[in-house]
Parts: sequence; C-alpha cells; structure tokens
Amino acid sequence: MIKFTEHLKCSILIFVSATIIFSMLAYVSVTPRPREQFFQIYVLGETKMAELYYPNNNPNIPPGPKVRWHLGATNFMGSAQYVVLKIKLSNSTIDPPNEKEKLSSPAAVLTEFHRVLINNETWQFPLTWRIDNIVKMGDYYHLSQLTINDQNVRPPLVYARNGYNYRIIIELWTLDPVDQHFIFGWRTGTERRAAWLQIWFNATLPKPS
Amino acid sequence: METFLAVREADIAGAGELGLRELSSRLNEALNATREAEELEMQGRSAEASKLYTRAVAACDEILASARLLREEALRQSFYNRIIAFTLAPVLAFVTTIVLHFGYRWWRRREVRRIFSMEIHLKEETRE
Repeated sequence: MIKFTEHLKCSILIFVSATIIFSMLAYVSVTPRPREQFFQIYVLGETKMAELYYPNNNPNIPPGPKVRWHLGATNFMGSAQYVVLKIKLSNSTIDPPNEKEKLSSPAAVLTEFHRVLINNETWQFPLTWRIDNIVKMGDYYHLSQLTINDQNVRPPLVYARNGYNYRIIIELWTLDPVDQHFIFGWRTGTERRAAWLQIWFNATLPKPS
Repeated sequence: METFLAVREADIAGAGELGLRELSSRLNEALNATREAEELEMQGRSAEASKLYTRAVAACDEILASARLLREEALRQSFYNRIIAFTLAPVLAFVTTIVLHFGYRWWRRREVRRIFSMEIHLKEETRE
C-alpha cells in the first residue's frame, strides 16, 4: 500500500497545480483572442496624401480637368471580407448616409468597386474622374456626362444651384455572411456599423473665350 | 458568393495567410473578369463577354475546391494543435514535479551536509 508521506503529498499537490496552470496556458494558446472588428476607409489626393484633392487645389471644377484621388480600405475584421465601395453623386439637399439608422444615402450610384480583402489587408486604388459636360437650366446645373477611371458614366439628374455644393459620397458595403446579401457598413456580432466619406466640389462652366 | 463564403470559412478555420492570400487574389481576378464581362455585354460584345464569363465561372469553381481543401487542412491542423497543447499540459506538469522533487532533495541534502560540516569556534571575549 502506498504510504502518503508529507513528501508525496507535496509532490501530488505540485503535479495537480502544474497541470491546472499548463492546461490554462494551452487553452489560452489555442483560443483566438476577441478583437475589435472594424474597417477603415480613406481618400487621398493626387499626391497620395491628405491634400490636393482638386486640380490646382481649386474646388471649382470645370469640364475637362481630371480629378485624381486614391481610395483605400483596410480590413480589421479578423476574417476575409467581400467589400464594395460605392461612389455616389449628391448635392446639398440629398440626404447623406445615416450612421445611426445604418441607412445609405439615397443618391444614385455612379460606379462601384468590388474586392475580397483578407484580414489586415489594405486595398488602395486610383480613382480618376472628370466632368465631361454640364447642362445649365436656368440657375441650376446638372452634370450630364462624367468619365470615371476611363469609363463613361451618365449620372442621374442631380441639380445644384449655380453648380454649388455637389459632393461625391463614398460608401463601404460588405457581403453579410449570415443573410448573404450586401449591407451598408458591416456587422460585428449583434451590432451594425457604417463608414462613409464625402468630398464637396462646385461645378463651373468653362469661361467663354 | 458561394466561392467567397468558402474562402471565408477556410479563413475562420485558421488557414495560413499564404494560402488565403493566393485564394483571395485568384478570387479578385475572377471578380474583375466578371465586371469586364458585364461591361462588354453592355457594349454589345456578347461573344467576348460570354467567353470571359465562362472563364470566371471556371476560376470560381477551382477556387471553391481549393478553399474547401484549405479549410479541411486548417481544421485538421487546428485539431492536432489542440490535442498536442492539451496533451503537453500533464506531461509538462509531470516534468515540473520531477524537477522540483529531485531539486528539493538535492537542496535538502546539501543543507544537511553543510550543517554537519560546521565547526564550533569559541568567540574570544575581550577583557575589560
């Protein structure tokens, strides 16, 4: 029969304690840590910095000159995500996206860019656009033809008084793996979040020669 | 969509970054091809669009198969990692116990030997 000396009792206690500690360490090492899940989107100017967003740094843009931006998105969601960046044309009266209600802007989409991003991946690409034609109707202007990344785009009727206060809205949409459709923003657990950007400009008619 | 979900599942299962990067890059190429096919279709170039679209669908099928393989491999690897980690716990505990046991015995013997090898010296008292 085993005699439980003080020494043996002590050894058993050490073995049990060490087993508990090493099991806890094993659990921590194989369990992924919960992290904050989010996306980051940004727009940079033609120098790939937060400056020079307009030709000659002038927000009054006539038909012709190219506007060069660089759009970027980074995935910090902890898993691969299907991302869509929607580019919309709006004025000062069309509602912007509503972050509280998670509603996207009702402005019409000019174009959209799709990409699958793995975790921690940044996607940056150039967005070059130009106004090809402006139609004047009384005091109101509307952009009838745009070129975006060498593709002709016919924007919907978006009027602005004297061409003032147009804006390009950039919205981030993701494919929701639960509902399997695209949603504005993204879902983290039970929560929904949204990210969007806007850049204002004025459309001006070319000066008569 | 099914292809993307397969890639995502592989990612969640713990697939390596290299494999995922390769899959996502191929998937993005397929997405671009689909977009190009749509543009060609709008321009009325249906034959070219159809060719491009067929190629994109074939690429998606290949990615889907690769993603499923990657997921299975990641799940297997993750299972083995768990088994190894939890098996290692009692082994390390046992090694720790043995080391402490013999370490303590060695230290105790050393202390006993040290005490028995001590000599008694009388301290000389200073005369006043």
